[in-house]
Amino acid sequence: MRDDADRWPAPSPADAMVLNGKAVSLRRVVPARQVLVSGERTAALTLVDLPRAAGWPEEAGDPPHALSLRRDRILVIDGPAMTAGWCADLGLAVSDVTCGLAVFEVTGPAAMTLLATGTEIALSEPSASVLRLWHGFEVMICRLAGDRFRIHTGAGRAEALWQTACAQARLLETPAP
Amino acid sequence: MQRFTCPFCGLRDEREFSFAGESGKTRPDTAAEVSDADWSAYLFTGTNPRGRTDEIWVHTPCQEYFRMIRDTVTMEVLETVPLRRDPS
Amino acid sequence: MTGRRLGKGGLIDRGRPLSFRFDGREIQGFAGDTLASALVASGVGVVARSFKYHRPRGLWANWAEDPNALFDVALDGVTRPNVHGATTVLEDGMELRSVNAWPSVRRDLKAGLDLFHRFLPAGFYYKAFMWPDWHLFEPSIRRMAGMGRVEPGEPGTPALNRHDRCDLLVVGGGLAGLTAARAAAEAGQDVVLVEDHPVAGGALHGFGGTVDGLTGAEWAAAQIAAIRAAGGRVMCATTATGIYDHRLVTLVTAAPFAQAPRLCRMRADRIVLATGAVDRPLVFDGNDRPGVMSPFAALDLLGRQAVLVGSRIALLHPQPEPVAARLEAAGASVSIHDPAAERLRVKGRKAVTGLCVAGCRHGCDTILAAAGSTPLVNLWCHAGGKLDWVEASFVPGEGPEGLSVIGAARGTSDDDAIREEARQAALGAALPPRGRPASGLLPNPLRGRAWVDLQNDVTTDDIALAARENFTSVEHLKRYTTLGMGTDQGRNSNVNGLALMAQHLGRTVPEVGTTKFRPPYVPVPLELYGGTRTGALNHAPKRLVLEPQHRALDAALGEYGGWLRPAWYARTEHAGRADEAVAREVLRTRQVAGILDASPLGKIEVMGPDAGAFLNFVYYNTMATLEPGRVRYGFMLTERGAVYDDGVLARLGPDHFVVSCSSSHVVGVMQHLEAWRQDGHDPDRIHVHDATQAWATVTVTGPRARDIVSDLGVGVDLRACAFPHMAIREGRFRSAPARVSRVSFTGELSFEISVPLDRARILWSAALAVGAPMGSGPLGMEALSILRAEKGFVIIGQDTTGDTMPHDLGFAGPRDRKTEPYVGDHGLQMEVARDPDRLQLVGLQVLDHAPKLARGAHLVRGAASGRPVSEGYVTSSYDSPTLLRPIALALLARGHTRMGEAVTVWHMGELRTARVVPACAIDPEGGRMNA
Repeated sequence: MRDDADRWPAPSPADAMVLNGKAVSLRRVVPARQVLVSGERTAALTLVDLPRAAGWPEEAGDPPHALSLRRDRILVIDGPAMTAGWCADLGLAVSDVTCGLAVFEVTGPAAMTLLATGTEIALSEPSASVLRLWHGFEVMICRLAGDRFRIHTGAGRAEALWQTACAQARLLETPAP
Repeated sequence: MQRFTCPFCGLRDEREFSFAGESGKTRPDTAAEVSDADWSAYLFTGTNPRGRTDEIWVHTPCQEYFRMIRDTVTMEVLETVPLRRDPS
Repeated sequence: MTGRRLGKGGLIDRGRPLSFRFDGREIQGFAGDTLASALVASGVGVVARSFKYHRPRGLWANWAEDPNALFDVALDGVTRPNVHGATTVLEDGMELRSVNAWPSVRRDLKAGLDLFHRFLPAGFYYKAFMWPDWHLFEPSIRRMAGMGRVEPGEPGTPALNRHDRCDLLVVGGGLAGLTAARAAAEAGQDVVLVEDHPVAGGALHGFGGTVDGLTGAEWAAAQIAAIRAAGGRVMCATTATGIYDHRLVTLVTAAPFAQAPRLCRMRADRIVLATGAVDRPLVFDGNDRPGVMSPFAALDLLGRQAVLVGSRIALLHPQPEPVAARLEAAGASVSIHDPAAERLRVKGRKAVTGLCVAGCRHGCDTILAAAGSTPLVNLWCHAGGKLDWVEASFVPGEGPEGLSVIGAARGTSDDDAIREEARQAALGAALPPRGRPASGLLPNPLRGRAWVDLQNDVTTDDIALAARENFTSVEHLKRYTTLGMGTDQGRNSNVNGLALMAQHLGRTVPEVGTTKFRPPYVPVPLELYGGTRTGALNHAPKRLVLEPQHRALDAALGEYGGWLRPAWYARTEHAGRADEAVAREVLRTRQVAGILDASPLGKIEVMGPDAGAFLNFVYYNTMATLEPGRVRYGFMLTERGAVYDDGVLARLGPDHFVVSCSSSHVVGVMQHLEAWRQDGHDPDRIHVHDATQAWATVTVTGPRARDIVSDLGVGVDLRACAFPHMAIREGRFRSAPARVSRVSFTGELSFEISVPLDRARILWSAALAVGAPMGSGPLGMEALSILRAEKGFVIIGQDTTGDTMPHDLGFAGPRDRKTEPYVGDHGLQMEVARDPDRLQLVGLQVLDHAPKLARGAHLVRGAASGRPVSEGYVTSSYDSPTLLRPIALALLARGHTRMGEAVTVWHMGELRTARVVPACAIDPEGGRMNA
């Protein structure tokens, strides 16, 4: 029977997850609502009353917005309240995962460089989906506008992703030799 | 490090992909009689060719399964085909 | 002790002196020095002792191909072993220690080993030190064979890892590379140029002379400025360490000593290699003595660090005049000798004192010797490029698309030809035909001790030995002699080794072949690839939202199924007696109630009109008949019929199910469901959402569970008549949706309450507060393991093997009666599934007052004969606080038909007896769960 409590530092509370730097700044944000809607794209967008679901590197803009995950799935942030479950008229499956995804905002002149530490990602290479594998984490990476980006990951991974992002951000603050 | 094309997400590096078997395998109808030989062939037998190979892969972030024809010697990707008949 | 610093020239900054220590001796250098150049400039001749024979060694080359100058270096509390001296920038205050010598390189105690060299040829360890037992000698030989010291407990430094892309990557910033990069940048391409030295210019610094009227350094700086002005990127101190599939190139940028180097994974549409060439060593008697150096290294030291390696230099080179002229202009006297002369021999021990040529002795303090030139083609070979043997070197031949080689790496030596090649390569055009590379000498077997691989102490005798013992293929030659296995990856030794073997076999060099070059091109620290995945970030488990609450209750924490979870509570109070804490939690749960954080349990939503039929196919059990509001226990099988996961399936509505699988299988189950959804079903009529991390689950389990939950306000009728066991109800908790299931893993009345994560804290605190006056308390994972074992509930992977099928666990119904196809159906009917001797789940009871059985102990037959045969093993074993005796679960051949039988238990040579009993030891009718 192992006790590893002393091996793991206590996790940071959400409101303490702030790192301000000259090259890149990070902070955790808590959207009011995050909902998965699966089914045909046009029907899904009609249900949530949004014009499009952003892929990469389209600017999603500030929420409310929808992110394109799969050919038949979107994630709606700060959209309207909806009934969870199967919506038979529209052929859509809805799940509220608001608390299930931790969200981080990445801003600053080196924001893209930070994103490019975890995977091959470039503004010049578009993708229809915001889903990525970043430093081994399953995430969604979207562009809000300009050099403001967001990373969404499972809530259970928030602590590890935060520590990883901070470690890489600190390395970026040190000027390249 | 190879790059593959997910039919929906586009070009991504190989860390985001997983091999899911050889193309063309259809599960025998187990409601009918299936010989042990056919069942074993379905589960375990593969052609494992040198050169052009026809495979099913999955793009793990979006979980889309698709068919990829590639060359196991040159590492060239020859063709990417969605599984769905009419992808939107 | 022959090297000295010149008063002017070089790329060093004499205004910034630096001091360091080597084996305790204080030495001065300047900014711009490497460790090696500073040592040579200070007259240090012996920089190391060789690997096997502990012979004194000096510097051979002035960059990555040097095999000798390795040091353990410490600076500012950071220590690194086996630092490569010729490529490491000097920093003030560094402490250098020799790696293979004690007490110092000048006086090494093990130097006497060289006297026994006849007993220590290549491969001696396959023949000697075998009797009576190799293991007697192994520890000593391992200690002697090590080079460098690793400081235990020193954490690695985090390394920046980034990804980037470009249209054209040019590797090498000499005459060829700079010309190509500039031409491409000015033609509008997105160009990246990488140069491994801190200052670009390549061989221009060493050869001296001018380009377009400028010195090498001035010309290089002008090209870099032009490249950047045209939008190109130039990275100095950056080595391309490997080319991988689809033209991915790893670039490693050096950092100050205390930091890890930086890794960039660069994706390039096209690559031009301008990596240059190095001297090929001349093989002659005594060629490993300190003071025998690469001629180009002497020029490079002169051009970059203003170091003159000696005053009286003997030069052996196929084209000696330019080299001699340059060194004489710097103030040395140079005597030129024929490298093909008979009976060349070095005089001197810790330093060169002379060179014998055909019996005639010439006094000198330095010997610069080369047999020819070796183009650097490692990266070309990584990418699958082929090599042609031309004259006396391997040059690039046929290669893959998008990759070309120019300059000395291609075998081109004329400056104008190099610049023309570079301009063509920049534009992606075909290169002019390859010119004739300069000729060179190939070695012959000779008498005396002549070194082929300096770092591994491999001599011409070792190659002759390999030939005699029939290790003649190039791969055997390498592995038997260890030729080419050093940090230079054979750059210095391959061609000479192949040529000697070819002589022994009477074949040509290409017929002998070449070994494979593999990345990395130069040694890199492991922490480079680790990035920031060190310490707590290496395989970090997932964290519970209630972790602060568990820590507040002084929980011991452990990793369970990929999550960090409470193992037991009040760890300080029970320090050293954790089993008492666990026993207390078990009893409390059986007598009152336990409050468990069950949040990691899988919650996979399966929705759509075909969801029911889909789940009926995926599960062993019949799920299509599950009614809304009901929950059913089920197995997911592999196609071979073995149990992959057990869990419960809840139906919320006609088209809405929730799969509650084990926490450790969530990813696997999701992949399994998606695979069948997309390939075998209509994906528009089934959608699968993983909502595991969106819901927190608090389980209240125990006889008083209903009383506690009634006070929490979940908006559900909890009475047994309204809410039976194995049912699910939707309610609300603090204005948020709540789902309450009656599912029991403990065997007690249980309510699993799931709420969105942001309500978790309130729910948990409320449950504890309401239950405390009744005597309930938090329940950890260790106590949960005992509670479920008392009921005979299995943990997949602990009480099952990769072959265990549902009927082995007592669940034979669907196998016999389910008619619709399901995953694993055919596997359950095959011959192996019908074997009567299959291992089946049972319980085991020890005899009175005996201690608990050892988990993993084998159940055997035939113990009396002295040759016991295993019939199964103990899968779970605990002291039950509830029953006040040990309990155990086991897999036993034909176990279901052997109830009451006494079996022999074998563990570590000891035998015991136990009785086969039903797996469930408490409340077999389930009255407590069904309350």
